[in-house]
Amino acid sequence: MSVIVLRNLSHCYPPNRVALSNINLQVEKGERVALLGRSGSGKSTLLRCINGLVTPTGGSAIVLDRELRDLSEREKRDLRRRAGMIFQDYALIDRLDVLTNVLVGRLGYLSTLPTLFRLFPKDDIEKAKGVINDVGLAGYERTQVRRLSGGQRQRVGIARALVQEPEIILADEPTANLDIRTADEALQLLIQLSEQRHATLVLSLMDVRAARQFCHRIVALREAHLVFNGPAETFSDEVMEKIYY
Amino acid sequence: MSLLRFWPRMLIATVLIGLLVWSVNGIQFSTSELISGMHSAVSYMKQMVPPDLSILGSQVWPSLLLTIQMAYVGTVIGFVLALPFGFLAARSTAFNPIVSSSIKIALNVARAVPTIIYAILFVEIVGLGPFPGALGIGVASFVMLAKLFAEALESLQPGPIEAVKAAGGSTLQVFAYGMWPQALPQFISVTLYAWELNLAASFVLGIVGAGGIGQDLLQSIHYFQWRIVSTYMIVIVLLVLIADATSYQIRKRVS
Ligand SMILES: Nc1ncnc2c1ncn2[C@@H]1O[C@H](COP(=O)(O)OP(=O)(O)O)[C@@H](O)[C@H]1O
Ligand SMILES: [Mg+2]
Repeated sequence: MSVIVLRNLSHCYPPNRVALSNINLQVEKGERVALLGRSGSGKSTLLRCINGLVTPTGGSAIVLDRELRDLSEREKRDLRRRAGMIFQDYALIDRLDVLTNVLVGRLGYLSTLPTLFRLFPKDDIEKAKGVINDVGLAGYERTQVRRLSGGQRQRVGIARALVQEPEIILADEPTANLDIRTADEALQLLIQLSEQRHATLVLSLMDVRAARQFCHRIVALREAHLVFNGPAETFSDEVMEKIYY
Repeated sequence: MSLLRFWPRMLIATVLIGLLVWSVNGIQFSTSELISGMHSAVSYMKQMVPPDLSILGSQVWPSLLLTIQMAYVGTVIGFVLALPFGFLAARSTAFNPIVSSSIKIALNVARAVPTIIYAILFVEIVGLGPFPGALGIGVASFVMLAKLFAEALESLQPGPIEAVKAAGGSTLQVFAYGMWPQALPQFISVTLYAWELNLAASFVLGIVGAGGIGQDLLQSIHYFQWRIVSTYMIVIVLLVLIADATSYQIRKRVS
């Protein structure tokens, strides 16, 4: 079963910056897909088209059986909570504590008014504490995230996405700001936790080795075009040459 | 240095010097008056010591409180009005760009008007006293804060905002989690700055009859009560120093 189906997906940022050009891509449930490509090749834009943060200027995106183009703003929000996102720069709220940052992942499920006063149902708080524990940050619930290390911050980012109980996790260069060892640890954690939850994982990566080692399939972009799409084992050095040089 | 750059520089220098000569003439700059004035300045200063501290409790304290109250009420009025207008003026939060730029233009025009002019207008409307003073301060700080709030909102990190959207957050949730925690320290810091300016403004507003410590100072100068003048000056300097230190401490804590 495909959870993501992109057909002739194109995106052009105003006035005329082509970020994606005729992308055709299908991602199956439970798959782990790495997105490779040089900086500026369109990886972030592709990921943002999948959860509707960017509205593509052409083609179609069917995510979890919903055609994004046809969705109202309200329906898009419902879809977004089923697709958690993890960011390169973590995108955390620095002045708030770990627990509140993770609870941001529950906002899509909760009525707005109480959350404006930082009031959350007990259930959601328990869920948040559960994932904080899963990512190895038990005891840090009340720590301001700006006091954490890079690796710890990204684990908060992972927890925030997981607490959404997402069917798809989109990760945009989640480890680019971390040293190799911390990056591998964060990646393995992300993979292990998303597998436990049977979530489909699509992640853009800078690190070709990590993509080969940790993912089933590799998709590569070059200057807005999809230039490779195949099993990780078939991603040869020649292909790599073609993408990066 | 090439000739090409030499002549423009000479021209600029000539213009600046010419402007200075013209202005010195205009203001009737007079070295002799400055020197003869020095003598009276020295004699005033001699009469200023020792400051008359006996008036501290009876006169200075009530005026001081009035000045502080005026600046505080003015700042709160400014803050409350500036919040919605700051949001409407910021490109990143505005409903549409035309609203945003019209508000910005209006704020820029209103900013060209000094506080004392607003206070004089309110004196016409509500009569003499600290109330028009506070209203004048309120309007002036509203105009300043709205612009600074808008700038703060435009400089927010997009990451947290995007993250709340990506989690399925509603517009208000995006605001409350993505924007507000980021903007609040900046809002507090510029509001404290406005409050310091407002204290200074409320001294000056005494001149247009707003009351408070500024008016008392002016009065004691008119009556040649030099020992009282020095008391007021000391209190004003202390107040400014304390306000500065307080706002510094708060800023340090929130940022
Ligand atoms: N918000 C934006 N506005 C205009 N151009 C953008 C924007 N975001 C990205 N781009 C441009 O789109 C292209 C693809 O960017 P991006 O998707 O961020 O690539 P990647 O994530 O692979 O580095 C780049 O040329 C980039 O400059
Ligand atoms: Mg990117």
